Amino acid sequence: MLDFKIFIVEDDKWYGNLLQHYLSQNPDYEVTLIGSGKECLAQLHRKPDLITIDFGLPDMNGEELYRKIKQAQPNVPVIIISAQEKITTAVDLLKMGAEDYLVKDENTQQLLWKAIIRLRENQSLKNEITQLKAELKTRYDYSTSIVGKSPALQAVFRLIDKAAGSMINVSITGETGTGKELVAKAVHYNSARSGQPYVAVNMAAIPRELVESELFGYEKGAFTGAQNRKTGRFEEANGGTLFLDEIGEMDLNIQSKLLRVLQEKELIRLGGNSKIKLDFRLVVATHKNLADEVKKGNFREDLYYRIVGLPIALPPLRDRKDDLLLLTQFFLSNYCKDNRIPEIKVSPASREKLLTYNYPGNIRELKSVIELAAVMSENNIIEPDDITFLSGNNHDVDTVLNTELTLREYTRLIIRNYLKRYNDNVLLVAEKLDIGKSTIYKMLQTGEIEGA
Amino acid sequence: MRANHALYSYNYLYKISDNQAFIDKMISLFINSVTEYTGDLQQLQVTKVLHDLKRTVHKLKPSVLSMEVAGAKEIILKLEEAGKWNEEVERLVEQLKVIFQQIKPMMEEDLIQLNK
Repeated sequence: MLDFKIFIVEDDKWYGNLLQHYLSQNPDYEVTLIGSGKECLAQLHRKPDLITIDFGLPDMNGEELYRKIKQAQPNVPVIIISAQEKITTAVDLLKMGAEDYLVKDENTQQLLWKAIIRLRENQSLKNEITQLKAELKTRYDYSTSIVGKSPALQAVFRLIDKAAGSMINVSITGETGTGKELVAKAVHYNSARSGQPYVAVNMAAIPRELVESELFGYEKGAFTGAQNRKTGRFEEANGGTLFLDEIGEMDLNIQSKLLRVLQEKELIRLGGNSKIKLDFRLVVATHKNLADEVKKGNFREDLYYRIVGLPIALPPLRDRKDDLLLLTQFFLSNYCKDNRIPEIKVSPASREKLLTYNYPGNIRELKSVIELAAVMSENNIIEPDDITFLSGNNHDVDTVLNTELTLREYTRLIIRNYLKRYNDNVLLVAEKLDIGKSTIYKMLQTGEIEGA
Repeated sequence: MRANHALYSYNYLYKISDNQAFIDKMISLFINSVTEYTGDLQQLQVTKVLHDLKRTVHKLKPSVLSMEVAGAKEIILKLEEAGKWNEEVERLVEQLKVIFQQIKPMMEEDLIQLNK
């Protein structure tokens, strides 16, 4: 299949035919011989993938033709071929952006052949990068990567939209496992800076003594063991987005240094002298309540106001039970796809079981529960016995049962727990516990149990 | 047909391809070029414009060197270096013209032999 169009612009018919014949040995190349600069410009509508031009054409010189080609089609690669061996001419044309400069001699056709292969490899790599970036963007298209239709999640989507459309700092809060990093990525990959770096740093995962060098980088010899210069994470994120996860764990000393970086928009590497300009969007996340941390003196108030930007609070899974079965289906489909196995279904009884649990580990826990259940399931159906909850709920039950209480006290404990779970819906709780609703009303009236 | 002659060589063409139609075409194109260059050199001997001479030399250089035309390389290199039109240039141009006039009928004969 002819899929790579090459124009050879050469007024010497003998030499032009030689190159055309040589390159045409590759069946993928469609090689056209063109005798003048003007004819080449007139043929540009055919969208060549490469143009080789003889520097000494009769109607215009190589430099002039090069400029005109680039004006019309800035992205088409151009290789100059000339009998002239002047280094300055070659350097000038390469500086202007010519792909290569070849001198006409007995090796030219081989050099041209290799130059084209190199060029196609580069183009292929560029295409691959563009494709990967597009795929990455699709991956963080939050309408598909963040699963759920609950009103709480819809509100989060609206905030992600607002954040992506501006350069405001973003602070994400939510319990562990609610998807904070997914939101950070969604903000970045849907923003105008999506083509720039996204750098994530988990503050809780870096030993305290290494945080500064990790964030700021260092010069060679800055401290014992600094054998080479190292770029810090702030610099790596330049032009893009820096995501600081678990910022509530940041040491007060580092907090003040971060504040300075955010105020000055520049930093000095450890052991260095020169200031490095910075331009990144900061997204932070924490499972802590930072305002409370400020009150307790654990977090700098000035830094808090600097980073809070647009706050996005992620709801815990127990507050979006509407999404639970959608998420279950999502994780199950991914599991089956990744393991190349047929579709696994969830039995109605299993759905009930999944819905009654509170998931303190949130979505991360649900994913583990579902994957474990998929492994345990037989005949491609998940039954209640296949489901094991992971966050120690059984242990809580054991603890409660080992506590000496009267039956009345146990009843009170269970009803109170159910009322809390079902938002004080007495009728639903009576139905779930299979007791009369009057029993619950009486206990509420006498004050034996309190509503939420 | 043999690739080597005393005054020129087709080695380069045979190195690139063993396709006889291609070889024929390239020999034929070279004969046409040589005719054209001979005319250009004759004209230049009248106008004596060094810049135009250098353009012609620049153009004929790749093919003439590739066909290993005996004596042409030295002449071309000297003409490329020339700073003004003088007797030496005049002599070199004449020499080149004579070489072209010599090889042209030989190559035409080669083509006839090839097509037999």
